[in-house]
Amino acid sequence: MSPKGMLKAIMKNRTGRIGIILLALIVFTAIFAPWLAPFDPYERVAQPFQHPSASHLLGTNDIGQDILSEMIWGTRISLSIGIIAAAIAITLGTAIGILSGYYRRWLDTILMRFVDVVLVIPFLPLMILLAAYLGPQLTNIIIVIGILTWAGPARVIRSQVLSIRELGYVQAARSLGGTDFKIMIRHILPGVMPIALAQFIRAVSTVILIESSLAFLGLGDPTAKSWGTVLYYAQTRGAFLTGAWVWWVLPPGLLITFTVLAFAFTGYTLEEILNPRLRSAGPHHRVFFNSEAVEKNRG
Amino acid sequence: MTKRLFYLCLVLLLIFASACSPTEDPPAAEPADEVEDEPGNGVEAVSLRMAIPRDEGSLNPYTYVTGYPGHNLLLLIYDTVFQLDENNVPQPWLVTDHEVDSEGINWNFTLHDGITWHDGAPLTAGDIKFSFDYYGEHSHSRWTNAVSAIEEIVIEDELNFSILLSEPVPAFLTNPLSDVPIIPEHIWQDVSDPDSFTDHTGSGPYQITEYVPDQTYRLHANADYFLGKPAVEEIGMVIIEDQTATFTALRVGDIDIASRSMQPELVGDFAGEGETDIITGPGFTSSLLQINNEREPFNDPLVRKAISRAIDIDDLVDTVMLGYGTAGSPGYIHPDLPHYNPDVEHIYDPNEAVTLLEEAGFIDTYGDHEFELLTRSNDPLRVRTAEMIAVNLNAVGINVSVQALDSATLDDLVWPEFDTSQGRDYDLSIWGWSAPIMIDPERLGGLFHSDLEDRGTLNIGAYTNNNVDTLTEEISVTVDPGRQQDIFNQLQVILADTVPFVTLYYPDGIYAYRPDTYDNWTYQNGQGVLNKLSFVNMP
Repeated sequence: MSPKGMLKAIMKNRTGRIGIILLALIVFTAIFAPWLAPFDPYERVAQPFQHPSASHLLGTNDIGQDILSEMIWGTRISLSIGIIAAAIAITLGTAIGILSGYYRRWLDTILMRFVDVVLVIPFLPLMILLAAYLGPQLTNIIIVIGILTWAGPARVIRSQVLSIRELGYVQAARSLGGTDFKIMIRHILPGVMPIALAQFIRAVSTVILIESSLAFLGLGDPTAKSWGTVLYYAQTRGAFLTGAWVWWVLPPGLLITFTVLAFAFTGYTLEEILNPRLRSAGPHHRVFFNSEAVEKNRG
Repeated sequence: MTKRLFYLCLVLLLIFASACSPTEDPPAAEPADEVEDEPGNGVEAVSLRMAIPRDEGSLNPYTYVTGYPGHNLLLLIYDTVFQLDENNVPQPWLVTDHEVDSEGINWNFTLHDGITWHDGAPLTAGDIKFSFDYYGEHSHSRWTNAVSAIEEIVIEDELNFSILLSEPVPAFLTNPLSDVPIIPEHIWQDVSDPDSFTDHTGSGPYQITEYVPDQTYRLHANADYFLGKPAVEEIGMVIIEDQTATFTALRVGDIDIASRSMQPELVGDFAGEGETDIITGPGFTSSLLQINNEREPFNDPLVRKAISRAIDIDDLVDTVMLGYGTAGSPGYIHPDLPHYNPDVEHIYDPNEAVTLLEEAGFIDTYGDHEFELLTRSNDPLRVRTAEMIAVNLNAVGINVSVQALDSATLDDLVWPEFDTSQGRDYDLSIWGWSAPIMIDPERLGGLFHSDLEDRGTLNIGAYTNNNVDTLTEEISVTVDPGRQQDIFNQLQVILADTVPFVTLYYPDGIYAYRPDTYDNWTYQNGQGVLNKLSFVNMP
């Protein structure tokens, strides 16, 4: 299915349409942050702890930076973290999925048992442990999240590879003496790309949520203005005790929620389109957290 | 993955839900509920409920845990020979009279008559001798070092004793006499492993009547206290670790005071009208911009001076501390301390900073170099301080980027193995010292002496200055107050000129409490309100 066809198919679905529209808004904000934000979020522009006013719609933070501008720039940072970490996870997942599904036998056994292990590790505690151990630089956070979220996608991609490798054109390429490497890159990879894309979109939302959780707990990089970092400062500087949570906690919280929803809606719809087993369930079965989808992801 | 996503969403929702209803949080621990609140006149309270952040063990001299509030609570249960007053001047407490010879070697004391232990036994000169000997023999990080200069204690009779020192100790009345608690000989004489001994019979204004580990303490007033019955009949202490939960409990009336200092941004919600109020005063902890004096180009005093000139510390106090702090003195000593030299002053002058950097040839060599300013990631105030300093330094041409590290990594770079002779690996770092390192004048040698093996044990920037070496050596053996002050003044002038580090600010202590329950708190400078003088009058 071409990207254009995919987009069309998503837009036909109500959930997908909401997802795509929200996504477009978020990406637009991230790209045009410098023009949209009224102030430089790193510059102290007013007294600290100002309540919302005409010049600062969401007030100012603990050292007098404009919270609205932080929100807008935070879109860019949270989104970048999401995309980079998800890219790492999906690249790893795709590579392992293809190797495992293509070679099968002992390599498949080893890799899939390894995936099993990674999937049953308690996820958030390990993440917290690694984040604390490696230190709070943004790059470390991205790498940690990336290398801990590849297992689910690897499993989904492997199952796709298993069916593709038996298709006529792959068999033909093999009988004509094509090398394994060439077959995997030229014939299998294009076949799993749509599924990888769906997995990628869903991974982005997971990553954004995880990064926000880590940052909120004080395990993120406190100098990078992601939404989670804004929440961290709100929490440590008493926003929950004073009335400031209305303009300091709710906006980043809602933004995280909407972003996660946007990616989840889009990713889910895409998966539904690509996976006939889910599509046949009919419109009234299109709940967001479809148990069948979970089963599928867990293999 | 979908399921995980769902749970994460749920957690996030819960966080917001809890934010929306802070007053509905259940109290984190059971308050002293069977004692009724005294609505009364705000002076003589029957019972007081206080929150402390963590368990302090059985609260005897070997089992208490933290310097604050642990040591402060310990001294409600045990007495010291002298007692620091509001301005940290030692005053006689267990003793009525004292004399000292001209060399500061031989001290004579007379005890108050009729002091008893909580179990009724009399407190005599024998207990004093026993305590100091015991601390000398049974190692403890705080007491053993403090009593090391005591050569011998001679008991003359029940009430009179003399202490003979091996060398003069400049602040002998402050430490050990106002710091080291006196323990009862009849209870401790056979104790060989004090770290596992849990008795807490003291002679102080309060005794522990109930202790539930990790939950509560109950302190009851000592009715037979030699200076009169303490003002509050009972103090219930609950352990609340979380800061937000602590002040929520204070707001709704589950507790009457919190031992922890409040963040400045909350003052507006707790001060003035209403059921809560605050009491503030100077704090003696310090916030510093630590400079690696060993590393190029910071080994040049001109560059360090330029850094000092570039930093707007008044802005830091107003922004980061919201005014609840004192701007740093370039001589390190807090302006509210007796040995402060008022002639030294921080000068904020970015133009002069640029001139100094040009003079030092900084721009040619390091104009493009980016320096790292390290800070602890788990301390938001320090991160904010670092961010503001980076702006200040970038403005004069020193390129600085802020690096937030976890505290263990930071300590390892700045102060590897807590041993200054092990070297260091950093450019600049936000740092801070606790109050004792500010109050005790002998610590200046530790901070600034260039002999990192023996004397400069806190000199984490490897600062070197011959005059400072000589002066800090002299101060540790000088007992004449006039000469002491003279040395202190000279030291502060040299420090201001050579800038081993930049003293940024000293955060104030801010204590929130409910005045309807008890309103007679005494703020001891740098120590806060948790001291004997809040409950007992000076003799």
